[in-house]
Amino acid sequence: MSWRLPESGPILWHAFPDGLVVFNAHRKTTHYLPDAAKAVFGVACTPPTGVHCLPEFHQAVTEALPDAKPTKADILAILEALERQGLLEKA
Amino acid sequence: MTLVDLPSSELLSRAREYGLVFQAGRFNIRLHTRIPAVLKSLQLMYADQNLVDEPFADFTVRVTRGSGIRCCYHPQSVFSLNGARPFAPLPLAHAFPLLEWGLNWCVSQHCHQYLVIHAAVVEKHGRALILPGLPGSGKSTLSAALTGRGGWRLLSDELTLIDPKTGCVHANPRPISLKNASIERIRSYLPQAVLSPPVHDTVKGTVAHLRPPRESVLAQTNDAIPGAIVFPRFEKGAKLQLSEIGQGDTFMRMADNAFNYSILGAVAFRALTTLVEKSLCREFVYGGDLDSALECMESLVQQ
Amino acid sequence: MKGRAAPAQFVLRDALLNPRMVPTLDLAQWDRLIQQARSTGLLGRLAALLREQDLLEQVPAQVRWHLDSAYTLYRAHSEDILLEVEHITSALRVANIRPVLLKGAAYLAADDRARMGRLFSDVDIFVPREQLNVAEEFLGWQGWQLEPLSGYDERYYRQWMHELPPMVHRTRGIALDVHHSLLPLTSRIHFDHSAFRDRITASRLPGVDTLAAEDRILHSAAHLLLEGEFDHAFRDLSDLHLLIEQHTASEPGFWNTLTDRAGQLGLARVLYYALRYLDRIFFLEVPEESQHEMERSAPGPVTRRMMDGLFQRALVPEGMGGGTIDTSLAKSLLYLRSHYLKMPLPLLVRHLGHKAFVTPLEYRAEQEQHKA
Repeated sequence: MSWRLPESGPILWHAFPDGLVVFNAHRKTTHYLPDAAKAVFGVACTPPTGVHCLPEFHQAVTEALPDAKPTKADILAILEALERQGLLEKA
Repeated sequence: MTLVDLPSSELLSRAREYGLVFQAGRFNIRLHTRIPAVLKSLQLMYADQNLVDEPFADFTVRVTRGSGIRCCYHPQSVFSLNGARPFAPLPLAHAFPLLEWGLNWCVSQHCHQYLVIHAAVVEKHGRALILPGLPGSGKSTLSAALTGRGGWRLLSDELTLIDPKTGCVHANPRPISLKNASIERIRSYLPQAVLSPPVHDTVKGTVAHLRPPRESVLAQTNDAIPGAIVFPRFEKGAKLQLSEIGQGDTFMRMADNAFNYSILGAVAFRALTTLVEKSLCREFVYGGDLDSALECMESLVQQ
Repeated sequence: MKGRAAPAQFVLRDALLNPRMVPTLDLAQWDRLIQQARSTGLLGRLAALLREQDLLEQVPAQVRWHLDSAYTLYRAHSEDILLEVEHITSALRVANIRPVLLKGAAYLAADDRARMGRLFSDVDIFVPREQLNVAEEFLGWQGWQLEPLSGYDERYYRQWMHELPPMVHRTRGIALDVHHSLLPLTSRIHFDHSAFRDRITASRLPGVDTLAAEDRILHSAAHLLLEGEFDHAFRDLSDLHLLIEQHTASEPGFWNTLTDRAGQLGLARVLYYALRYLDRIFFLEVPEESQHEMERSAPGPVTRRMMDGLFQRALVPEGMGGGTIDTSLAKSLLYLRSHYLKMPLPLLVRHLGHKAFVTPLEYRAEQEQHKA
């Protein structure tokens, strides 16, 4: 399974030290992503943006938050939550 | 010529006939009204503002007496902007606060050249201190104290105007709205202050307005660079406490406090990220001690 | 701007008709123009027309921001409505219902020029009567709720009007009006409701239709002249003007299509009045042939004179040179007329009686409850 930024409309983001703020310009919704969600979404929006697979997301979060020891299931749950919010879509 | 220079009979006849045109902060207002009490408070509160000779006004507003049988025994006042009536009629005695709320509505609903945030804003050493907060958070009391004694310049006590092109905060100084206990608090803290006659039993309780300092009015065309965003919280008797909060968190709270965030969309998102990026972000709990509150705010803009 | 202003002061109409005139305006005229545009809800339209012709640069700076701001609001509003239409179609797609957009949302979906600068407070859709209950149920599942109404109002809507009571989405707050008939059900004028349905066309938006262009015009004219609501009459007349101008210019033979269709739907008299007032207020040029065709549907001279007095007053905003009788009187008379056209007489008496006596009581009770 892999994910990418949605193609329906532009997604804007800005990284603050405590969290990533994301604006979905199509749905006009704003989201605040701290901790693991920030690291997960950070993978999708780090240039060059494109399609990324679950292991990539998992590795990035493990590096960003070494103490959290996230499982792949944890990451999958975050990816699905981001998908529901319209911030990512399945590729 | 300023409002205070105009004889009150001339004020009345202008407002009655072709409209009294004056500067209310950065906007020109043409006011039509036949209610003498409105003009009396207006002259007191906008004393230092200029009368305008230009034929173009930004907003042509009316404060009229309500019509209908009910109004014979309960006189009412109505605010309108070109036929739009954003508020239900209020008792005639509330006519001046009604005008003030109406002028706030004009700005918050029609000025999408700005990102309009529900926050007080003051300036010192060229840096803007933005004070968002719910009613009751004490942002008006705090801005009254800061501008009345702390040497700060009032930009607005209610609506912060961010120019998305430059990132600067634009000034729109108008009377500061004080409620309930803070009216007496400010009267004793600032003995020189000019207040409008208190109006009782409004939806916000007792309301009185405070005339902005003359220096703030004279400097109303000067913009300010963002310096700090402070979320005040008044808790009676609480110990003074200034604590750092996350910028991402601040961003979300500011977006919640913006009137036209969803109208400006991506423009608002970018303006707000830039604003927060440039600002110190703090939460501020204060009790009754305004002197130490002032010291605390001063520390945020000292170079 | 008080009393019987001369028609020469109707600078808004002049600017809508010919945006190229605005660089000649002085500041006093700009002041009047912006006020007239605000009070009719057409500031966004004025901005869109000036923008289309690259005239904004020539607007004095202190005026310019008002237009830019109104344009920003209009753009955001259009985006919100398009998104809302997406939500509505996806909620109904599950039930296999393909809605037909009406009024403002239809102008957007059909990319009519009448979309320009237009703000509207709700989305109107048509769903065939037999699918109405299912539509209501599926919309309910997706968060749309009926606005609470008194028992009488609810019956009035469902039985005698041509729409469900207004629905509002729980979180997004945009109102939705679901119509099951395109014109009032009980009516003195006999329209052929089902005929509207044979010319439904796919819009540029997926999963949603609109009426054909000529039907959009007739539907808009019928609502403007028969509904009895004149608060936005001038704005609606401006919509109608843009619609007719656009389609007659771009489609050869459209005048015939329009007049024929009006006859077929039983709306010839409505079109007659619409064209008459568009001519008087917007100087719309109607080809001679169509004019003759329309004259056949004209009312008698006495009725016509009376209607001219009433409509010209109600269609032109107060103080902009509409005519000689009082605006609110004209509006009240036209309100009565609209109800006379809608309902059989006994029902009309009952309805107006309810509105006059029961509603204020309910309102007062509600106010007092609110206070307590």
